Amino acid sequence: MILLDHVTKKYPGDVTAVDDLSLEIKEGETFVLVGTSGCGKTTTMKLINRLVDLTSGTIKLDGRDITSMDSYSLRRSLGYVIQNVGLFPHFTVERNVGVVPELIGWDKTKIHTRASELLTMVGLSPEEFAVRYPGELSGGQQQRVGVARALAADPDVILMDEPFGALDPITRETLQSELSPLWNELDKTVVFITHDIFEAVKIGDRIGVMDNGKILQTGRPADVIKQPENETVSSFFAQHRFQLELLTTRIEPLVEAFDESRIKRDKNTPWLHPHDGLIDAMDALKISDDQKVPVYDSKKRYLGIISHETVTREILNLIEQ
Amino acid sequence: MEFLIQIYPEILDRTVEHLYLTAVPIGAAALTGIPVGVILTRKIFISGKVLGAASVIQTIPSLAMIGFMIPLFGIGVPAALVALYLYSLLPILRNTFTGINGVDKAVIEAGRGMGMTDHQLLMKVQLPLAVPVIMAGIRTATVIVVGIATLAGIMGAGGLGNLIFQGIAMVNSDLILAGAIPAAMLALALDFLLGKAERLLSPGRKGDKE
Repeated sequence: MILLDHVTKKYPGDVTAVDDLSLEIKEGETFVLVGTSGCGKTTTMKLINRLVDLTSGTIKLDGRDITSMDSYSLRRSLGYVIQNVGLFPHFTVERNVGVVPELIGWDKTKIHTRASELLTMVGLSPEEFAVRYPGELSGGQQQRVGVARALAADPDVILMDEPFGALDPITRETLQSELSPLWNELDKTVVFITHDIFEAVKIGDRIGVMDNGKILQTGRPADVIKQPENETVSSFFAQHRFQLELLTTRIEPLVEAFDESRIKRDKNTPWLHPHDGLIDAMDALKISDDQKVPVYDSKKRYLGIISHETVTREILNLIEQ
Repeated sequence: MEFLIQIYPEILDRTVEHLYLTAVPIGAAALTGIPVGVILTRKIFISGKVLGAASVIQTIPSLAMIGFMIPLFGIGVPAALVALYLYSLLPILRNTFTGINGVDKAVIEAGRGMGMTDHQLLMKVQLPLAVPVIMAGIRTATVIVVGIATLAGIMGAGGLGNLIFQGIAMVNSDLILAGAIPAAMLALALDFLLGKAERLLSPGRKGDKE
């Protein structure tokens, strides 16, 4: 758990980058700080790993004040991914992944095993990629290595500063949908920074909207979008509101009971997860030749169906609001 | 041909002397210039002054520089070595400074963010990545010094300059060439060897997009 308590960062010349910010990030959640550039989100993240020093306030990591820890061991205990990847160009992919383990003194065989395991996890075959240099990889592959590197020493917390910001839209979407389930499954606490509201609602368990060094509102993506607490938050979504609502309105409450045996199923039949959004339901219905799509939870248990009728009604509701 | 056979042993001796006049100042300049260059990247406020001073030294005409050294160190090898050392300092110092400062900021931030100490960052990241630029500085300095070292001949420090100055005094162009051609070949050979060393020292960066 990360606790920021009345945190302020002032730069010389009385520039306040972070202004009396309080925030609690829960264990195992993905918390996304979203805001325009210059709103203080990157500074906030760098305060957590002490790349930037606090002016006032306290930050606690699992109850321990971070200023009481050695800053180097603090950083080694937190995963860190940045927008420009920052892989070491003179190290092989494997050595890049093993940087933190090397710093904390793991032996070579352990690092090698761990690197192969992680490369596989992020979708790169170790046989092919371990001995290559970052300059030989595409931007998307480099950031996969960047994520593997952050996971290397198995940190509980990972800080990500616009990790997919420099990628083209298609690669970005692939990485979002492939990598975020990965750190969710590993139960990592993730602090994720982005200026892209779509990325925020897609990835975040909770989001925090930032402006001028302050957090304006925190909450589940759907709640923040449905009930913005003030003008600034609301203007941040402005013209994308409808799209964002389609994305964040979960189908969970719309599931209807239906006899499972009456569902025609083959391997091409689309299905949904209760956490999927309306937009996913629309996609699934489009390819379904039935007027309904079955819903299964993470353990593949059958929950019911989503019907064409319900989705249409819900979309009409959104339009009317 | 007869001339060449007759002068050959002397050319060889003078080349060895010349090599000595080059290697010692370059070695000393590398041993001092690289650490000082590294320190300058940490203490930016004095870097301008130090690099400025080194540039001023570089602008002193070489004949004058050698003249300045004689009252301080007397006629002979030590004066020549000091003068040549001063000339080789700037390229090495400046290239170390720019090489280290030129390392991609994202790479530095990643290193710091992963918990490298300043020392680890320098040894594992900044210096290895700056090797090509530092080596380029050493190569530049070497070529400059091989050329200027011929002037050591007039202050009794030996080297291939001796042949050239004898040739000038005797109006014998064969003798001048006997000094000048080996000096040029020496410069090319050293540049080539240092280029090889540079590639060996820059650990595998095949296909690096630069």
